[in-house]
Amino acid sequence: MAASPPGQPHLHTLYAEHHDWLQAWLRNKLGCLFTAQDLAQDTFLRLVVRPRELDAGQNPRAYLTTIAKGLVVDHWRRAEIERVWVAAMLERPEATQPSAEHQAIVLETLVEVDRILATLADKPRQAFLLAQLHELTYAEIGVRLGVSERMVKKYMAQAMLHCLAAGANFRAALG
Amino acid sequence: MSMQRRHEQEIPYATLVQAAEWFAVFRSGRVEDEERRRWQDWLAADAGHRQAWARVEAISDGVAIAREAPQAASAALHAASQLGYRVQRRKLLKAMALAAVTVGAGWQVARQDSVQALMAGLGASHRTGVGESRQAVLADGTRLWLDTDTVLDARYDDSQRLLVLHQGVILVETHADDVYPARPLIVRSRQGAMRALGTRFAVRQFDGHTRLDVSEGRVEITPLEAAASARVVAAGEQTSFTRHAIAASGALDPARQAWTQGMLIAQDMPLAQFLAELSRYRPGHLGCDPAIAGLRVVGAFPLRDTGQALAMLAAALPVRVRFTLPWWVSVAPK
Repeated sequence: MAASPPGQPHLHTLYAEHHDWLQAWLRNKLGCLFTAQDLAQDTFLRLVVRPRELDAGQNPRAYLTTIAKGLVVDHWRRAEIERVWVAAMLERPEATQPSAEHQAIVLETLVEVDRILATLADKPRQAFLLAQLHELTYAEIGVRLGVSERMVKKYMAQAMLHCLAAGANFRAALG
Repeated sequence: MSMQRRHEQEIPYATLVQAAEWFAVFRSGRVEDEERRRWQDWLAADAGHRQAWARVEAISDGVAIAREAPQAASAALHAASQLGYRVQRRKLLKAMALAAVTVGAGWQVARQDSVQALMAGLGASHRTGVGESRQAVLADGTRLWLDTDTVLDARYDDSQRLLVLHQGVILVETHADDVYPARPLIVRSRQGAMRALGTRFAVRQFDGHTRLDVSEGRVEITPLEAAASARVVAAGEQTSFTRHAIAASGALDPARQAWTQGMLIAQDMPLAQFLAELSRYRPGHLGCDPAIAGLRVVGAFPLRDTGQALAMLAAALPVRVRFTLPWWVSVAPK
């Protein structure tokens, strides 16, 4: 019974008019129909979750491709993480390899960490990973990055704030 | 995304800043007893602090899962960061800015449903993003203005016209009901109900209280847990109430409704308060050096371009605006 917020019913039209075009555009970029289907769907999902970003005056296809490009980048980054991680696990002696399920959980976590930290400046990002992943002390990190311990502490706060503000959830839930 | 999830996620930005700072203190491995006590006091002071700290721990523990193979994890992250798309991605994310604070959980939920199902459920609420304000006309002709970062549910049924304000600010201009007998129009905040008696009024949801400004007609307030103390507020008056009590009414400040025109009007407003108001219209942090917090601000500032508002501020007062990051701005003495 409530009036719909302005701009939103409009999503149906957007979907009907541009979905096939977007999927073809993605397929051309990715060379894979299935991934193109997934990412086209994800693009519209993102529009639903963040409807306020689409202004009435904007060219819808330009806007859709902006979102889709971001998702393509995510896709490639994810593939790269998977490639390197899986290769490293395969190098381990079989007895010390974590279970497939556990590996998948770590992989999901890494993808999320990458997604969140990609927009953080380089030094805070490195400081955070050195501390949290490699368990180095602030003094050790300071030496590596060529900054004072005080600065490392600042970087740590900055990185954590970044994660908090981005709604990070590294406890990867599977399925 | 469901309204409920969005609600659980809400932690003031200032609290996130404090939680992140405490994280950096603890991670250093050198914490004095005195500092630990201050941290405990901080935790004890507010449920929001504890919630923020729980998220800090979840993030910290979450990363720790990759510690069993730090080299492989680092190599994988490094490889991804070398793909050369960071700049482009950063631009995109900058545009999305910190609106993502409340989206994280919603995004996960959203992925599990089909696009169509989500679209069908959208009509249930009205919302504005940070920096956005908008007008809406409800089914009965009642007009509504939503200020920045506002979430509202309009739930009309046979017996009442109910507007549930989850957060933010609304201005309501009621319209005679199109149904006979007329249904009451009620705005519900977290602290109680406001029943319109033919009227134009604004409601702002604060953390622990609700403020009501009545420009025309009258509005009856019933606090959630003190129905007996219900009271009518007349045109030209404003008041605040909690779940238990209503404050004495004062004179209405018309400048407070300037947001419907996209303006923030300051009449001798302390700088700290001015920046707190302005920060509601921008994502991220907008800090004020305590040394200049008491400076007085006068003028009309555009809310749709807060960068312009800050530039005007710097031109009018002996202050300097520092953009450390696009979303981290501090105002300091010149």
